[in-house]
Amino acid sequence: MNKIFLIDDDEDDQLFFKDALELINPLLQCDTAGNGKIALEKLKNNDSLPDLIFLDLNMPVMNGFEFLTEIKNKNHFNKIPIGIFTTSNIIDDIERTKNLGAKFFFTKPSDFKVLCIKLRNLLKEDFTNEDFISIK
Amino acid sequence: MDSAKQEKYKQEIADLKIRLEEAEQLIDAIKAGEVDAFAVNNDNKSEIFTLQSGDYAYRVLVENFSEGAINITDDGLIVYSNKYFHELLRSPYENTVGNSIYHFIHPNSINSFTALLTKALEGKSKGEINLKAGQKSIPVYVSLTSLYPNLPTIGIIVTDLSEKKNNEKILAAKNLELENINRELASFSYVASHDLKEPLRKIQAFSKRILDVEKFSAKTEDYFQRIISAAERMQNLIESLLQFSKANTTELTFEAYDLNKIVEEAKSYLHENIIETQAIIETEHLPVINVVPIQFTQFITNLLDNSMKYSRPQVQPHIKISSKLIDGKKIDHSLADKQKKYHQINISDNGIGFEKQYANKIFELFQRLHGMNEYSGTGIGLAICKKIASNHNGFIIAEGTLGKGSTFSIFIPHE
Repeated sequence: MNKIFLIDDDEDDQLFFKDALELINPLLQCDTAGNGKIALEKLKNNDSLPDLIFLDLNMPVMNGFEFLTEIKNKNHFNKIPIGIFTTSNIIDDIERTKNLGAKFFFTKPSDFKVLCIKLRNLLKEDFTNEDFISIK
Repeated sequence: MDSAKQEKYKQEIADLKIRLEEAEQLIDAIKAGEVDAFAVNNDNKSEIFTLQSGDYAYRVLVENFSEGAINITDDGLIVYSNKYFHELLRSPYENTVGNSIYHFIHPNSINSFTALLTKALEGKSKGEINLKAGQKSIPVYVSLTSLYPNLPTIGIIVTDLSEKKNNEKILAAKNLELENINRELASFSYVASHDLKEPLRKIQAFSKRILDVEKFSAKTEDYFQRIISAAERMQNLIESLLQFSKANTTELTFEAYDLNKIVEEAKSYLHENIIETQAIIETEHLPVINVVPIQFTQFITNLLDNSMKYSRPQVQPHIKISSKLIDGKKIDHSLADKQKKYHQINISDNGIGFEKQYANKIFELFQRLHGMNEYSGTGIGLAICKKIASNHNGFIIAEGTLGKGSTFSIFIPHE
């Protein structure tokens, strides 16, 4: 795991996430985008693809659901494992994203220490199998 | 007296006898009720007199009341119409009596009226039809009665439904408006609560992060903890308000649901609290009843949460859930319908209880019996329970003994 891509419109959550990654593994690169549309642009323009994508659901212009639908058709990118990183814990959202191809559903914790522990465990996962991971 | 004069007087007497006979016949006929009007010839004038009798009251009634009254033949010929009827149809008297009733019936009601008329020939019939006045359609309720054998006609009383129909339209429009407002309110509440919670989450997250990263004096740490607690209280308040709004605006879809399942769901929501307080929750076998599952689960969750929160210090919370069927007559509550049976579901605990005088107050919005420092709480939970009970066409009663425990009972009508 070298590069992580976080797609989230919330700057505070971006900061928290980056800080947590820094503690877990300072060598990990982290790129960010504020919504699905900007994310697709960045993916196209970048030479190296990320190894894992964390995707928020509620974003302007192109939200998480729309991004998942869009990226299915992009053969160059649709092999990258994508998981949801959101404030929501609604069962409908979990089901819907699972059906759209998400590999995990991670509900944002408000405690930094909890975020570190859960994120560290998540990064150890192998996303090549069919399992769906739900983290509350 | 000469013979000419005698003849004259004889003739006069004969005339008078005839007139007297006629007068007596007339009086007999009047007595027998065979006539109610007669003409008297005075000189060259003819005067008509109608009799005022007990029938007078009926005449005045029919001519003046605010309903249409007509008499028609089997074929629909109008032989009598009161003032209200021809005025309702904006048709002068001369145009109405002698005309066919079908002239005044709206094309869309001709078949219905004919059916009513056919039925009335055997006795009576009632129904709603539309009359017409020019281009205008007038909705009316008609009551037809065959007047045979007294009169060879069908009597019809006509009630104008225009105002009622108009009111129904207004009511439907207001209902639609209300539904729209409710929907707007529900989505507003959802968005508002979501957007209000986000800054609170950040306040908590970053405050906690500051405490992780830096070492502060005990006083400063205490200040940060207060910031974190305040943010948490506000989050709970927003969450509770959202629930309260949902209890008021959600569409109520009832289904037969196993209450045991509902208790299990409530317990899973409160999983952490149950472990933290070491609460024991015992459930008797509960029935399947018609409820709005999401709301009823909220109801049970709120009560179980309260029981665990308001437990006695150093005493393990012990909560019992039971149910029974009870007669409305036996329930001491103004909303209890004596004609109905109710499902009574009780949630009893061994917590701090409350004084009897507050049994109603605790269900009021934002009413609490304790300070923020003694026990957490928004003062909304029980108001939500009361609203949910009402949504289920039932009601809730609280009983408590200070220092011993409380029992909350919901009564839902048994269908």
